[in-house]
Formats: sequence, structure tokens, C-alpha cells
Amino acid sequence: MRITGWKNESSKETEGSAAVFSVGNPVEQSTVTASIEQSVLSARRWVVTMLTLAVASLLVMMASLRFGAEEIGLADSARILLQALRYGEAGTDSFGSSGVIILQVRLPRVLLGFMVGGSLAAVGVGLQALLRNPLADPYVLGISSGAALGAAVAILFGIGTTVLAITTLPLCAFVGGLMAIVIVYRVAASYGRLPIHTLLLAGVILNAIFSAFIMFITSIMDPNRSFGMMFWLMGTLTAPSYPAMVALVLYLVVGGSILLWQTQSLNLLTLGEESARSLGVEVETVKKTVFFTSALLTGAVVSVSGMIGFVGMVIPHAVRMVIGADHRLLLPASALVGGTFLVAADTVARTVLAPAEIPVGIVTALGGGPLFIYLLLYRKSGLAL
Amino acid sequence: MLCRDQQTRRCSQEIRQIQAAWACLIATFLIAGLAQAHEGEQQPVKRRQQGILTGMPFMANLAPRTFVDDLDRKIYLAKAPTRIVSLAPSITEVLYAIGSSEELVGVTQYCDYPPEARLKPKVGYTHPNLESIVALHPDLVLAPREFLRADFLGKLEQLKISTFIFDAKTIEDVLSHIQTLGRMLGRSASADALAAQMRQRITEIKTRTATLPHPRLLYVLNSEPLITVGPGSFIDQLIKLAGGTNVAARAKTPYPRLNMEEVLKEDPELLIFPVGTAEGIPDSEQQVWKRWATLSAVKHGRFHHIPSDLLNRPGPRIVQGLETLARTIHPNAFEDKQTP
Amino acid sequence: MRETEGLGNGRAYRVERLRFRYRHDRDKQFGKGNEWALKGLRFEVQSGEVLGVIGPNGSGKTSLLKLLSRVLRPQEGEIYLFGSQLAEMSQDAIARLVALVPQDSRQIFPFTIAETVMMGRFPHHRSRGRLFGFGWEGPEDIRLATQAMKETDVAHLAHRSIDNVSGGERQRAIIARALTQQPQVLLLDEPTAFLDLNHQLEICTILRRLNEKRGLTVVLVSHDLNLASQYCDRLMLLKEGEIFRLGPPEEVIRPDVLAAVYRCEVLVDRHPMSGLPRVTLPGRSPVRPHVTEQ
Repeated sequence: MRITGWKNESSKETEGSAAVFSVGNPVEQSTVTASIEQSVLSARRWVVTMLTLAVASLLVMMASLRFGAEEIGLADSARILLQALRYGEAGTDSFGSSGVIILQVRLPRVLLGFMVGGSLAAVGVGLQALLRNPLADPYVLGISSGAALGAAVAILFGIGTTVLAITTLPLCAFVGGLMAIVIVYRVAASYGRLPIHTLLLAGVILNAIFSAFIMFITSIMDPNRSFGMMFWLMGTLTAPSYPAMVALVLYLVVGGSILLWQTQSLNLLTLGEESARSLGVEVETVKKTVFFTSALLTGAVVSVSGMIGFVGMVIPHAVRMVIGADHRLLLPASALVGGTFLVAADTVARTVLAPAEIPVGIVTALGGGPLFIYLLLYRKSGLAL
Repeated sequence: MLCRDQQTRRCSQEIRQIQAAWACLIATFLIAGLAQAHEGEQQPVKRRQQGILTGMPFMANLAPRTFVDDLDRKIYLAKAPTRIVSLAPSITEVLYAIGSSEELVGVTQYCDYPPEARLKPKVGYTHPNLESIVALHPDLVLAPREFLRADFLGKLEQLKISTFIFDAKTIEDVLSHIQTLGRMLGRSASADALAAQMRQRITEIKTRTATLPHPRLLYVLNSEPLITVGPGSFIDQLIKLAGGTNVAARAKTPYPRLNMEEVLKEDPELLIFPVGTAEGIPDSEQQVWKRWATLSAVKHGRFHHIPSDLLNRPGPRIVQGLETLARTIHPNAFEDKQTP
Repeated sequence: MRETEGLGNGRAYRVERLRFRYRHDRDKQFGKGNEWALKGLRFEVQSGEVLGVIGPNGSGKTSLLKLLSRVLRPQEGEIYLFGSQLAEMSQDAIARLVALVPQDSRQIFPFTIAETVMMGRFPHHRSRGRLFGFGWEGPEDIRLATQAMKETDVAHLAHRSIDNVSGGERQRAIIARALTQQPQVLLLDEPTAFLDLNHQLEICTILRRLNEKRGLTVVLVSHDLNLASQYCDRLMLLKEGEIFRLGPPEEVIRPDVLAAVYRCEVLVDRHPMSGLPRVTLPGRSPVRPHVTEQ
């Protein structure tokens, strides 16, 4: 057989196919091309969608600054924020307690809620693709119960020091999470490969074992201390200090960027490992990268805010129904939607029974559940569950 | 509402079912929440009535040696019990205070006052060990309402072990419990004397603080998340008696998880931390609070700690707790008083 | 000019001493080794030929395709792809040369047909140095994908979700994806399994045309002996992991050969139009089958 060039023949190729199949006039041909273009994600659609979501998120965040123990009008909030940006915190003394509330309580809380919700949703997307399982969520790999165990141990022994303006509880929780990551990986990996079914099993079992430890610790704990544990397990978005926030932001942004980088490979990974490999994906590298990044993000988020459920599992589904399955857009869009959703849920959590708060995990479940049912019933689910 | 074309009728039925289910679920939560809030109001009224009648159970048709506990269960004690198991540190303290320590054969691992109580056999606290209790052959088990599991109580009744449940919601409850125990154990004299003494001291403190300004304070049960005491809780009553104003007064539950904004708005002048016996306020906790530099309490450095046992245990030492609290809130007013 | 011209001396594949079995770690402990799926294969695939791989179930056909695309790695042996060792190439370098069309795969995520086909361009994104491999499809990619979709007649389904189409349409979409990879070797595992007759004919025609005009090397696994016979230059008949016969259809599609491998009697005659061997199962009459002379 003669070997003929490939690229040079491309224009001839189009004619050839036309000759064989009589596609028809050029106008018809271009409509087909146009419809295909619309089905595929383009850079333009990505930018437009992301900008819209970003603007919406910003609006929701601004609005939520209004609510709390008392209402602080939008104009006042804006003035306080501007003043703070120009003169630093001291410049807002004139605003009295409103200033402190906005800057030290609400703003950090809203920002934290956005970051936590966004990270949980992004990790949910990544894990659903990695495990090829639509029921996956950030807690399925056992990292969160490791973090919870770290927190329980810290509360039990009353460990109380501060390192770098971060209190011990999140640090102990994070160490617990790291320990869980190491255990899960060692159990699941073999011969340098990471089989997905063993990963899932290892996570489930680790969850069970750690939960048992946590229950044991809770039962022997001084009942006076167990308050903290109970509420931590239900999720909390209390205002952290700004230095801690900066560290957290950097950490989450780095992790999120790594996930974003992998999204195209994730698209192919959902076809199955063998198909992905045949399309040029370094499957083992991608799996390990996504696993470790997701686990480290989850560990950090859970350490800071306890276990806030629902966001990581359902937001990816909801966004996928509207936006489609292409992870290049799905991941960042889910992050924005997840962040906004958690900010809204937290606003409800801290106003409904003011001045007391409901744990935010309760609001996410009670609020998001019906929302998801609505989506399932009224839109094409598009997911073979 | 729109339904997908193919299965319109079934679809709308399903939607109705789902809506009904959610409505039930939400209704359950609301009802539970309201009931709990309501319960907090009801109880004090009932108990205060008992107290007004000098602590005697207001049931004329009650036979002697029959006692009614806080779950409205009647028990009959032919004679004073000689082997008693106490399932709460507060109850243990009462028994020692009225002179019944000899009869005490079983305690919890947290019963540490007076120190001799630590020598008694342990049976557990949140999850009492049934076998240990039975092995001690008690003729009376005294248990607190909290941590009580229905199956545990049922088992004790099945084994024909008399059990008496205490649920102290107010200070008056504590006093009437002391007196009831005195009658049950044949130590009415010492019990009534103790109760009278306590009442007197409480009244003294109350009068003394009544004329003083009541500073705002925050009682920090837990810092992160912020949990404090609210209306309906024991400690809230103590705060009022001690002459303080609880900044969580607007809350609707006894142990609310409070929003920091409320604290900033109410601006407490004092922060009170309950601590264990040996420690002060942990460093990390202080750091957490020192962030809020606008609070009066932080500006003037008014961080105080009180031994948690004095306030948590509804027993004889609440008076000490009340005194300590009053002394903390009004240091000038109590200079001359000695704490026994 | 094709990048691989001259490489491998006109051979797309050279396979030496290939041994492979599926790895089951636990078997080490119990002392029983599982069977070798392929036992020491040695053969060549000429560049630009259409090779059919046939044989009974369990003879190792699918494993062979996966080994040729390095989806699986062999325990022993070497595979040379256009002169380079397959084991030393990077995954996406292989993907730019070889495309694999697997047997039907279920999908749980709702990608559209167009998105699925477009995934075939992934190995080319890398080589063009897009930032971190997070690339966008350009007009060239779209044109190639569109063309492939038209050729396999799935263009009208572009916007449909891949789990929302029939098995045959899905199969054609996967073939379109493979074509979009612009490979020089196409490996197909039972490509016509779920297709209607017209689509079977279409696929075979496309493959033949690509082979003739562009010199696309095709390795095709099929249960359908007649399809293999009519469209392949050579046939490789596998039996229990070994090559039983390798050669043009006339040498392989013979009753004695087939009887030895499939353990049943068949009729072999000539296709009236092409003259190539044609296999027929014996009918219900008890007449003895006879072989037509060459």
C-alpha cells in the first residue's frame, strides 16, 4: 500500500467525502457544522458563563452582608467596606459596632462560606469523575471522618495552643485528615496503580472505623465539653481571623487550580480507564493527582468548618443538568454555584432563629433537598443513575 | 404546575406525595422546636408551687413513705434505704451533705466532692453499667433526668430496683430535692436545715445585688462554636440572682449557639468562663476573644473563670457558685464576705 | 508527508514473543497462576494493510488489541510501532498514531455526541503546547470532528446525549471519535456488532476507503468471519492465545482450518461478487458438506 500524506490531502478529503455521500449544497454543510459548534464547549461560552456566575455570586454575597442580628443597609455596608480598604480597620471606628460587625463577623463569614462551598462543590465534581460514580461526594473517601477524629481527640484532651493565629482545633483536624489520606492511599494503591473500586471500598471502611472511634471518644468525653464536638460535626462557619483566611485562600486556590488543570483529562476519564488511555491520557497520574488534591482540599475545608453536607454531592448534579458534562466548565461553575449556595444557606442559618444560629449543615440539607427534587422532576436529569 | 407530558397524572400525584412528605418533615421540626421552647416555660411554674408550700409534695392523698419523682413516678420505701447508688455528682454531694454517705455504695467517675466520694465503687455516668449496679444490691438508685435512657429505666424497674429521677430546672428545685431526699433517707432534720441555710444565703445575695447596677455579661460554655446559656437554663437564673444581665437574654433556647453579632451588639462588660478545677482559661480561648477589641470586657480585661462544678451541679454547692458568681460580677460589694 | 514514512521499514507493528495474562494479585498467595491469555505471539502488521483478527471466544483477540494500543502492558515480549518500542513511548504520542475503538461501553455522564467525538482531538492538544493541556477546540478540530461525524452518519445526532441514542449510533460515534484522532493505525474491536446492515456496509466502506486513499492501517477483531474475509488483506486466526494461521483469506478460511479451531464443520464457498472465501453454517439437511475447488 502506498503511503500518502495526511495533512496535504485534507482539502481533497472533504471533496472525497462529498463525492461518496453527496452531502448536499455548501449551505447545508455549514449548518451542520454550526450545530456541532454549538454542542461543543467554546472558550467564549466558558467566559460568558463564568462571568455571569461570578457577577451573580458577588451580588448574593453583597446582599447577605445585610442580614444578621440586625439589618445593615447596603449603602452603609458599602461605605464601611470602602473605608476599610482605604484606611484599614482603624478607619472604621466611626461606624461603631456596625463597622465591627460587617468587617469582623459578616464579611469573613461570607467569604469563608463562599470558599468552603466552592471547594466542596469542586471536589465533588472531581471525585464524581474520578470514581465514575454520581453518588460520590467529598466525604466518601474517609478524609472527613479522619479530620473529625482529629478534632475529637483535640477536644478530649483539651489541647489549647495557638499556632500562627490558627487555633488548635482546625490544626488537629487537618492532621487527622492527613492521616486518613495516607491510610486510604496505602490500602488502595498497588503496584503503583490506584484501582478505583478499592479506593472507594477503602474510603467507606475507613469512614466506618473512624466513626466508631469518634463515637467512642464522644461517649467517654466530659459531657460539658461535648457541645463543641456536636456542633462541629454539624458544620460551622464562624468568622476566622484575616491572616488565617489569607492562608486558606491561597491553599484553596492552589488546589482548585490543580483540579481545573485536570478537567480535560477528567472528561476523558469518564469514558473508562481503557478508553482514556487509548486517547492519550496518563491515567494513573491523573487519578493520583485528582485523589490527592481532592483529599487535601477536603481535609482543609472540613478542619475549618466541620462537616457540611449536601453541597459536595448535589451541586455538581444540579449544575451538570443545566450546563452539561464538560468538566472544563462544570468544575469552576460548580465552585461558584456551590459557594453562592452555601453563603445563602448560611444567611438563612444565622437569621431564622436570631440571635441563635442553626448549624448550616441543616439548612443546606433542608433547603437543597427540595430544590434537587424539583430539578429531577422538571428537567431532564441526563444521568443514568 | 408543569409535568412532563407522558405521565401527567401520575407525575402530579407523586409531586403531591413528595410535597406532603416534606411538609410533614418540616412540621415535625417546627413542632419539636416549639414544644421544647414551650416546655422551658411550663416547668418552673409547677415547681415553684411546690416550693411555696415548703417543699412538701402537694398531694394530700399521698400515703406516707411514698414519693413522687420528677417523671411523676411513685416509689414506695418501707424504711430508709441502706444501699444507695448515685448516678450524678450533684446527688452524691447532697447525700454527703445530709449525712448519708455511709449508705452510698455506688457513684459515678465524676463524683469528686467531697474527695472521699472518689473511693466509692464506680458505675458510670452517661452510660451507667447495669451489671455493676445490680452487683451492688442497691435498694435505691438516684438518677438525673439527663442521659437517662428509657430502656435502662425499664430494666431497673424490671429488676425491682427502686429508682428515683431528679430533674432540677430551677434553684427552688434543688432545694426541694434536698428536702425530699432528707425525708426519703430519714435525715429530714439535717436536710431541712441545709435547705433553710441555703435559702437564707441565696436571699442575702439577692438582696445585696438587687440595688446594684446589673452589668452585662456573657457566660461562655464553648468558644468555637459560641455556645452560651439562655433563658430557661439553670445558670441563667443564677446570673440573675447574682446581679448580672445575660446578653443572651433574647435567645429562645436554654443552650443557644449564639451569633457573634449579637455579642458585639450587646457588648458584655464581663466574660465568664467555666473551667475545670486545676486550669485557668486556656490560652487559645483567650486569644480567640481578644480579637474582639471593641468589647468592653476585652478593653478592660475582664476575663473571669469560675470552677464549672460549682455552677453545673444542682446540689448543695450552688450557693458557693452563686457567691463566686456574685463576687466576680460585683467585686466591691462582696469584699467582706468569706467563702467557706 | 507522513511522519512515519520510512520508519519501521514499512511495518506498522512488529511483535516479538508477546506473552500476556491478566494480573490477579491474590493468586500469588494461593499458588495457582491464572492462564496466559497470549502465549508467545510473533507477527508483523504491514503499514497500510487491513488485518483481521479472528478466533473463538477467549482466544485473546481483545487483549491483543489492548496490548497494541498499550492500554494493557504485556508481561513479556516487545511491540514495535513504526520502529519505536511501544513501551517507551508516552501515552499521547501513541494516541496520535493509534486509535482504539472498543466494544460498546456504557456511559453515565451526559456528554453529547459532538463532545464525545471531539475528545478524539485530545492527544493533538498536548502536542500543540496549549497551556497545561487545558485547551479549546479550534476550527480545525471542529472541521475534522464534523467530517468524521458525517462519514459515520451521526452528524444529525450531534446535540444528543450519548446515553440517549441507540447502541448502533453510539458505536458509530465512537468510531467517529477514533477517526477524529487522525491516527495512522486504527484498531477496532467488533465494530459492526450492533450495527444494522446498511451501517455495517457503510463502516466497512469507510474503512476500506481510508485505507486505500490514506494508507490507514487497520486491525480489526471480528466474530463475523465473512466480514473479515471480504474486507481484510490478511487474517490472523487465534486459538487459545496462539496464532493458528496467518495469511490471506484463502489460506485461513478453509473448512479444515476452521474445523480445527472452532471444532465444527462449516461450508466454505466463493462469494459470487468478490470471489473471496465465504463461510456458511451447514443447513438442516444431513448432506455432507463439500469444499469447492480453488
